[in-house]
Amino acid sequence: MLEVNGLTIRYGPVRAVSDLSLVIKGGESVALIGANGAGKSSVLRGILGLAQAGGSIVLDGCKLDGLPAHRRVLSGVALSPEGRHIFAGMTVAENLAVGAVNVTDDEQRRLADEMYGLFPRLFERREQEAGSLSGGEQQMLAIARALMSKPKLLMLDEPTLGLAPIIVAQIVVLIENLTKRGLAVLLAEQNAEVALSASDRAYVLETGYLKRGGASRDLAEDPAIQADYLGF
Amino acid sequence: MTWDLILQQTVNGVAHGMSLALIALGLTMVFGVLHIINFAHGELYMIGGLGLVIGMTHFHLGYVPSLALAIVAAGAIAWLVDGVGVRPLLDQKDGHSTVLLTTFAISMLLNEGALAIWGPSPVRVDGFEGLTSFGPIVVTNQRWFVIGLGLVVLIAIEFILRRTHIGKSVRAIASSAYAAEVVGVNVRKVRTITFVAAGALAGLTGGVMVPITMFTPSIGHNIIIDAFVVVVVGGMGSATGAVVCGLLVGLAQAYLSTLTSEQIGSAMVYGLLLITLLVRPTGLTGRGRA
Amino acid sequence: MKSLLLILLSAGVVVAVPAAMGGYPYYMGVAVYAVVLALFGLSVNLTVGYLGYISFGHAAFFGLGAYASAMLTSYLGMNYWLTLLLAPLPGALLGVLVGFASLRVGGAYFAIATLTAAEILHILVNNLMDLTRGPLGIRVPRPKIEFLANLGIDFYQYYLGIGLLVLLLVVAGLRRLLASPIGRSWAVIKESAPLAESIGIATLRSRVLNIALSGAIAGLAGALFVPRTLVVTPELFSSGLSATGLLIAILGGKATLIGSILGGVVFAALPEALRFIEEYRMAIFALLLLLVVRIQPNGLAGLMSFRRRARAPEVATATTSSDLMFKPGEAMEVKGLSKQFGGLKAVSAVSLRFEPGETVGLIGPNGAGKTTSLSLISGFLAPSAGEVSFGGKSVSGLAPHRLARLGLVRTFQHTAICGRLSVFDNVLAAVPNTETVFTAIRGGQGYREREARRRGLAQAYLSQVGLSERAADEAGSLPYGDQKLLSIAVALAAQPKVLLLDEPAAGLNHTEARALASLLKSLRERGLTIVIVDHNLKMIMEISDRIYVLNRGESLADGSPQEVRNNPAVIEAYLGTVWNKEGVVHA
Repeated sequence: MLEVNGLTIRYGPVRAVSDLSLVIKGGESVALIGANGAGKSSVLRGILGLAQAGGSIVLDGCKLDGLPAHRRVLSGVALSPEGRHIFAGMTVAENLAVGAVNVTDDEQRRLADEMYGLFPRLFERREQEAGSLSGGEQQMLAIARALMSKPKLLMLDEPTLGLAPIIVAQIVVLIENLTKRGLAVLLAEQNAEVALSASDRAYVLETGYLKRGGASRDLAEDPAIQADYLGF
Repeated sequence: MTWDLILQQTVNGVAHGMSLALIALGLTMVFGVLHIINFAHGELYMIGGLGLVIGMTHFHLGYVPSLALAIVAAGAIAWLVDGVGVRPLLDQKDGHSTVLLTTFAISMLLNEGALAIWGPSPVRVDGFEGLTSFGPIVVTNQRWFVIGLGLVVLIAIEFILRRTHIGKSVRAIASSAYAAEVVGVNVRKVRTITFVAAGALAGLTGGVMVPITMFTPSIGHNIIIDAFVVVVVGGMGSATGAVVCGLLVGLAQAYLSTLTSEQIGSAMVYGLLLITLLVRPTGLTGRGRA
Repeated sequence: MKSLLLILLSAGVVVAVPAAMGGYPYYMGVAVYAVVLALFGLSVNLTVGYLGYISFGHAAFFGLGAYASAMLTSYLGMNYWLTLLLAPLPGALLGVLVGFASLRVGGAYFAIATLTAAEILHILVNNLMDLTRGPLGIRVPRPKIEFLANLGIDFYQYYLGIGLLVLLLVVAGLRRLLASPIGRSWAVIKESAPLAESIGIATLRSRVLNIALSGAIAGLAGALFVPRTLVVTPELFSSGLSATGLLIAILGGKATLIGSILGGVVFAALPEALRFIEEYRMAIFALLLLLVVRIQPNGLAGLMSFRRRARAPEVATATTSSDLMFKPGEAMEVKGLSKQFGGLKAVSAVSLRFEPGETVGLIGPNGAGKTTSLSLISGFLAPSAGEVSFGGKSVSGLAPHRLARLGLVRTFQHTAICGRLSVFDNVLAAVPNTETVFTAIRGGQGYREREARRRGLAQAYLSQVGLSERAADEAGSLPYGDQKLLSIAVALAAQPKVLLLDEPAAGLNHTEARALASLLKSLRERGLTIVIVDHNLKMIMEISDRIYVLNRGESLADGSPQEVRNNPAVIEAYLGTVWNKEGVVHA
């Protein structure tokens, strides 16, 4: 589904990601783990087109590199960004509506209903201002908003940041459900345990390089991961 | 000051305030969506007036078709301003301060250019003639038109922002341009549309006010600081603030004009701007962005 | 020797030019106009080019100077030439007011405020008929100097001579000022006000000084204009004049003195050359401003590469880096620090202690509140609760530059350096000083010695971080790792007792991180107290004596690196529930 080759991302003089390659199949969830500053967010931003990136990015046969972000969303990439960034002054329903790019009005209603089905709390609060939602609800909204564009690849950037364990568990279940529907999910998570329990495969990043990769189950037993994180 | 005078000035003030509200609304929307201050906004008002005058005196069109010309002319010039002085600079490092300079230069260019080509003499054109009286209070039909059209426009804008997809995109960008880009909004395109729409709105306002105030190439220069006062006091980026404050400032100026000369009245209103900036930069409503 | 030559040269110009132009009063009039515009352009440039604040209302200062001079001459009968000494004062005073306003409003609001202030003055002067005679203006008779006239010297000749003298004096004074610590402060403020604060620059005072000076010079220009125009009208406050000043400064070249002089000459000559399209003059000026801003923002001076090339620093009284020891500071204590943003508790009741000479790490997963804590301690954020004390004395609520002067210096995550200055000048700007405008302009032996000492110190700090060879390079051209080292050198130059580093290893590769770690170790050996917030745990573990761990805004753990890395709560915070699967080896 997604094929990334030789991705290199720079912010001005800083090289955040170097020569990274990965593959994700439909119905698969893949995690990027690693310490902060390792480049996980940058990879996601690079795939969406929000950062200066070199290398090739192909989604379902469609070449993404060179396209501006809004065209990539139309091609089937969606991101729930780090920090959520929901539209605070707009209602939940309006937030969802903004995410429904390239959809007819009828389809938009149908999709919204689907989201409300997935996230009943959002349905209860659909006329409420998004800024008044709790952290967990905002995260759900950010994910639902991303799903409104009918993506083939859903990317989640630090979705469990600052959330209570019970919500984190819900997110893990959600990811599993989404992959069962055929969606490809790419997850950037600092918390290795959550990331590995929510994914089929994972890659470990360190200062912009892909250090190791493998099945999540295997990595979860690997003492090297602890070393990667805690620096020794 | 007699009761009649107060009422009359209230009527005049509401009409004048409506025009200020419309101009300020465009200015504040551009700030909310593009995060820049368009110093040339006042001149787009003037271009609208100029379009109206040219339509009526050169092409001998009626008032309403000339009004359409005013809107188109202002929108077109706004599009040029965006292309030359705004859009290419937004991504640059010091972009926002450079935009100050470019829009300032363009405002001078338009003002002095119109002055040089058209000449300084005021031109009178008639819009909707006639008037209605309520006892000693006189309301010209043009003023009815300003108030009425203003209300229609405000309602329309509210409708667009709340109910249409483009309106929601605009509000989304104003809330978080980053998130808007993430969810697939074509931020660049919507920004340009907002800028041009604000310009067209300013042009429309010029076209409806010129029959009341007469046209000179300086009307833009004269109104821009008033517009800044409204936007700063009302809160930069706040649409409600712009409208409410616009009406208040319009009324204030109308009342002041009975007490003192127009210039001194303006000076007092400008003083209000300075005081606001020093004491409460986020505006009276406190919702502005500093 | 060099200055004596310059003085002689200037004296020569002041005498020779008017003498040569003797029989051409018309051209001398243009020349005087050029001098006035050059002065005005310099004043605008001082604020717009050197400080980075865009002003659309500089005509206000110009007009005030002109009116002050005219009123003193016409109403009080003072000798016009004496009014030149007094006329800058109202401009300076208004400048002080505006300077204080700059605290509240930057960028666009500052531009609006200056535009509005000029308009208000325009209206007041136009309407206060009793005081200013309104639109009619105040007439001033041509101010003859009898004894010069008796010598057969033409009015315009001594007028031009005096004008040139004034211009040269102002330029000389500005050159000295801009090369002094005061000028360097402006350069840093222009780049980043927080950076300036963090190295001890009192940004408000510095800005007020700049704008007051700018106002004074503009006022002087206005006063000097009086004999040319002979009647001062409210038009001197018009936005057209402000725009002209802006154009001169920008077209000539922002942040170059010669540029404004060139600009003045061009703009004095232009109207004469464009006389046949007089009506279009302002429109053409506006077009020029637009073109220059879009196409050649460095102006004419940029075209001719007049930008000052960074001087390679003389290794005069080099305080060698081996002499650099840091004075043992006092302990620093943070008690119950909290910060709330609306409903979000970013930091909650955090207590920390830093003993002199220690290197302390502050770590925690994403969103733990580390950087917020740093900003709270260094005065960049006001705490919702809690106290910070340094050497027993409370320092909560002090402005960052005050904290810096007390010895608490911080760096920034997104490296803040002055890209357009040389590496050396970046460091030099941070060295503390107590120079004033007067000492800077006067110069003299004492000043030169102090400057030499400061330069020596800067050189030492530069060599401490290993960047001596790149001293003359433009800071923005350095690779990222070196920029980080430079920002540390800058922080060191501010003479810290406690150095707070905000994610210094962010964006660095392995080699660069190693270089940073060894630099920090050498600093520790010299007695500096260092507090580091970072994610590079390998580096932190290597160099820290103690580590505090934050999680979700609260203190989680503290202790030696060994203790922390084996602490189950810490492992859980970073990786998830206790990573205690079978086969996992604890270090």
